[in-house]
Parts: sequence; C-alpha cells; structure tokens
Amino acid sequence: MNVQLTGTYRPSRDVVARKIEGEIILVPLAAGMGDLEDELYTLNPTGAAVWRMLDGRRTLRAVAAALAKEYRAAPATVRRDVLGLVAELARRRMVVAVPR
Amino acid sequence: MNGGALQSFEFGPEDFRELLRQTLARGVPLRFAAAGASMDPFIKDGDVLTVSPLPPRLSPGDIVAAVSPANGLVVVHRAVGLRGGAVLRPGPGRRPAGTGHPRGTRRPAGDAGHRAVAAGHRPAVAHQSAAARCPHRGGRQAPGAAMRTAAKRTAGRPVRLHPQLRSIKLPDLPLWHRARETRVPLAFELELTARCDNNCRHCYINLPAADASARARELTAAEIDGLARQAAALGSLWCLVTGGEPLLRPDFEEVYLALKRRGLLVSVFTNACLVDDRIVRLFQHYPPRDLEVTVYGVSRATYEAVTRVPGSFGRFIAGLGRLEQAGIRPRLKAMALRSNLHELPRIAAFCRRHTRDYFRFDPQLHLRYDRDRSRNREIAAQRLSPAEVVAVERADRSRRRALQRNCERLLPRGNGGRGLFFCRAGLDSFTIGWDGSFKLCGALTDPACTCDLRNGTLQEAWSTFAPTVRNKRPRDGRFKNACGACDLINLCLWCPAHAYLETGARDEPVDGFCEMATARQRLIRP
Repeated sequence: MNVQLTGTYRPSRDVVARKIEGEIILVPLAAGMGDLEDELYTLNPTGAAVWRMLDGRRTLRAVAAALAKEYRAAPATVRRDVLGLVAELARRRMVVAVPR
Repeated sequence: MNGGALQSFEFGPEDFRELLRQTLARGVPLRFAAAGASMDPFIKDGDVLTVSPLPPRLSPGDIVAAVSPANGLVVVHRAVGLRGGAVLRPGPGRRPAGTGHPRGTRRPAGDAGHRAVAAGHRPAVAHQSAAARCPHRGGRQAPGAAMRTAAKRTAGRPVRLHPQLRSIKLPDLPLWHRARETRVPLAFELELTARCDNNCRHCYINLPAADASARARELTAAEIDGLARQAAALGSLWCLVTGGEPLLRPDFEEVYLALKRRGLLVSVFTNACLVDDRIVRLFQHYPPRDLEVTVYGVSRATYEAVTRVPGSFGRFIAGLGRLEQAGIRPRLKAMALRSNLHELPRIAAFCRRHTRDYFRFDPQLHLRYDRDRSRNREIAAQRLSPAEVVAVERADRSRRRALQRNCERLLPRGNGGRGLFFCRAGLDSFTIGWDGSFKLCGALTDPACTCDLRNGTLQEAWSTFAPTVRNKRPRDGRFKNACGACDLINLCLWCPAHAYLETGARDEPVDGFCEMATARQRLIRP
C-alpha cells in the first residue's frame, strides 16, 4: 500500500469506531476487513490519536507534526509510526484516501 | 475394519472438541480429517491433520487448532502474532467458515499429513444449552474461552499488525469486565415484524404477510436506527434480527445496514424463502455475524405440512441454494413437531450436511405471544409427548451431552423462591418487540412486564423499568415450594415468561413442563 505523507485519509464507511471502556474499538462491517469472525481491532492511545485526526483534510505530514508536538516526540519517529499505521489501516480498507 | 486397517468415526462438533481436548491433555497426538475450506489451498477439505501438544515456543506462521470462543467449534488457522497467546488468521482469500472438524479418525502417529501441535487450554464456557430453549439461561452471546493449539509451520507469510493497531478477540473486550460488575445490555433481539410468508402450525408469533394492521404498528427504519443508536450508547454489541420473517420487510437492507453502522454485530434468523440475489449480495458484502435458517422438512410434503404455504419448500431450497452458491453457509436448525417427527432423522442429516458448523433442534414449542386460543390449540396439537422428546434427544448424542452438562449445573434448590427469574434477561440482554415494545426477552409478553419504547427512551426502559420487572415477586408461598425450589429447573421449559403464556400467571407451575423435566432427568441420570 503506497501511503505518502502528502496523502489525506478518512475512516472508511465500512468500519465503525466505538469507544468501549475508554478504548477505541474498530468494528469492521464489510467482508474481508478482519482476519477472524470473533475479532475486532483496538488502537493504542497514539493510534487512537492518529485515527481521530484522519479527517480527510489534514495530510499525514500535518497529522504527524501535530502528534509530535502534542506528545513531544521526535518528528521522524512519529512520521514513521503514522505511515505504518495508516498503511495497515489502508491495507484492511479501514481508511480510504481522499483525492486532493 | 480389522487387520490394522484404519477405522473411521464421525463426531459431532462438541464430541470432537472433547475428544481433542482429552487426547491432548494426555500428551497424545490426534489425527483427523479436516472439514471446511477456510485454509484452502494449504489445507483442503478432507486433508488429514495431526494435532499434537503445544511446543515450548509458538511462532507466527504456525498452524494452530483452537476452540473458537464465538461458537465453541474447533478451528484450524495460522498464527499471525503472539500476544499472550496465538493470534489467528484464516487461510488466504477466504472468509473464515467457522469450520468444525467432525470427521475424526484415530490413527497411529507417523502418517503423512499436516502436523499440528496443541497447547493447553482454559475451560470452555457459555455454550448454549440444548436443554434450555431460552437463550438467556445458556448465555448465548457470552464468549467462550479458547483452547489454543499450534502446528508445524507451513508455507505462507505471517501477517503482522502495526504496533498501534491490535487485534482483539471478543472474549478479551474490556466490556465483559464491566458487564460482570454492572448491568450492561450486551445483546438484544429485534423483532422486525411479526408477519411471515409462511404460516407454520407451531409458530408463536406469525401473522399473515399481508396483515395491514400489524404492518402499520411495526417500527419504522428510522425508529429502529434511533433505538440502535441508544442501544450502542448503553454498550450493546450483539443484535439478533428476528421476526416473523425479517426478510419480508422491504426495507430490510436499510435496517440491517443501519444496525451494522451503529457498530453492532448483527445476526439474522430467517426461513430463507425470501433470499434473492439482492439479499445474497448484501450478505456477501456485509456478512451477518450469524445467519440461522430453520428447516421444517426436507421433502415438499413435510415442509409444507408445517408451513401450510404451497410452494414454500421450493422457495426454501432455492434460497438456501443461492446462499450456498455465494459461499454463505448459514447455520441450520430445526423444530421437532408432530408434523415432521417422522422425517426428523432426514432433517438432521440434511442439516448436518449443509450447516455452517453445527446443527441443533428444539423439541419444545412455545405458546403464542398473543395468547390466541385457536392458534394455541394448533400448537398444543403439534407438541411431542415427553416420551417422544426424550426419544429424539436420546438419539442425538450432542444434545444428550448438552443436557448432561446442564444437569451438572442444576441450580441448588431452584433459586430459593426469592424471585421469579433464573436467567440473565434484563441483566445483560433485552428484546425490542416488532411493535416497539420493550421486553426482558421475546417471550415475556405479560403487559405488566413490557413498556412502549415510543413513549420513552431505551435508557429509561433499561435503567428504570427492567429492574422493576426483575424484582417482581411471586404472589404467595406456593411458588417457593414448587418451581422456586425445584432442582430440575435447568431441564425444564419453565420460566415466568412461559408460565404466563401457559397459565396467564408468571408464577404458576405448568404440569406438562414438570413431566418433561422429570423424563429428561431419567434420560441423563437413569
């Protein structure tokens, strides 16, 4: 999956994010998104922060910059994490690219 | 067979799981023929697998056998990562088929075939009881625990999740911990309609498909979406869509997708007669969590003797065929009643051939939710005698085992007669009636135990009304000395909902039920 820092993404309409006991749980609606029938997906706190920022307007570079500032983390590390997570989400069709 | 030749045995899913569990517990490998195609092409239907005890170290890419917490079946998949145990993945390009492996063959180790390695296990929990028709007693939606096993690594690259994204199996959801401590409505049933295209003799709810009055009282798609939003806010995760026949509603797709888009795991009960290409495409793209189809007969004469609708058998076969051709395998189940008893063995055989995982049947019939006397007489005429029920249960090994498990869990002296409820209805589940009524369960139709969701919120119904129903007490001391003190209650159909349907009182014993429970006790504890 070719995910670029210049790209913008939003959550797919085929996944529902639910907050259960403080955790973001991703519930796939469509076939082929999950690996198992009894499996959902959850994001850790930084993953949840990325998810919230995938609004279809901000580029991944802007998302990473905002997170690096918020978490006082090395920008290069955050960019790598954001790219990796979004690539995984895109591979599972949980996020979709928004044409600019 | 003799002379050292292999001897094959067929097992039901539950028996196979127990065989596997007990064999591995002794440190002995078990060899069996795989059923299902979820690991195709690496493991094909009929391939011989050898499952061995878990090695000291499990690696991504290993093939593992496990008991699915969702349905209690043994499944074989590839481990894709390790986090406190195996994270499993089905075979490439296939939606998992929930495969059990009922065709067991004990062989000496050493033959060719895939080798698997089994781990220890936690005890399985929360199987639906065959004894208790009411799902709330068996904890239908509660998660099971997995017995994890591992197998020799085969071809194929393991899939690793990004560290910020974690797969979470349903039993590991934090929701369960909260649910144990507080009342969370984890699951609810939604009766989309009471109308049905069939007119089954034994049905407790069906109204004619063209019943305009009933149709006018049904919840609209917008009302259902509003209730689904409220249910999700209360913490609901499972939604069972039932009827009547839910596919009868022209807006079924809209309703189904609305429920899914609220983040609910939606299951559907249907007779499959109305499954057309549109429904197939819907379920292909947006699979239901479970799809269950009732089989009333496997010949036109028997099927239509039950449904009383000419042509229904052909529509059922066509609908089931459409699903199967599209790779959608529903779970098949049956009702045992006077009109199809002669065909029950053939029905069971058909269901076991075609079902997604396991087959179950129910030999006990509810009376009507609307207490229609004429229809109740028809249902009574379809009921099997205790001797007949016991005979069909004796003939079905998995059902007999389920009864035995329930017998081992018999409530000590009932519940002491303190309250009417033995189940979890109203504690972790509820039902939305087709007319917008809120009920603790579908069968609890006593007007004193229902409220109208059109005149209030689901939050109010769950938080305020449901506890008042749960707290209802028997009228006098008679209950305490009857059903309230009976230690066969888990073998009995009795509950306040059924007592009301049978007698008009929530705390009244039902003579026929006592006879049935006693006969079942003799079956499993002769």
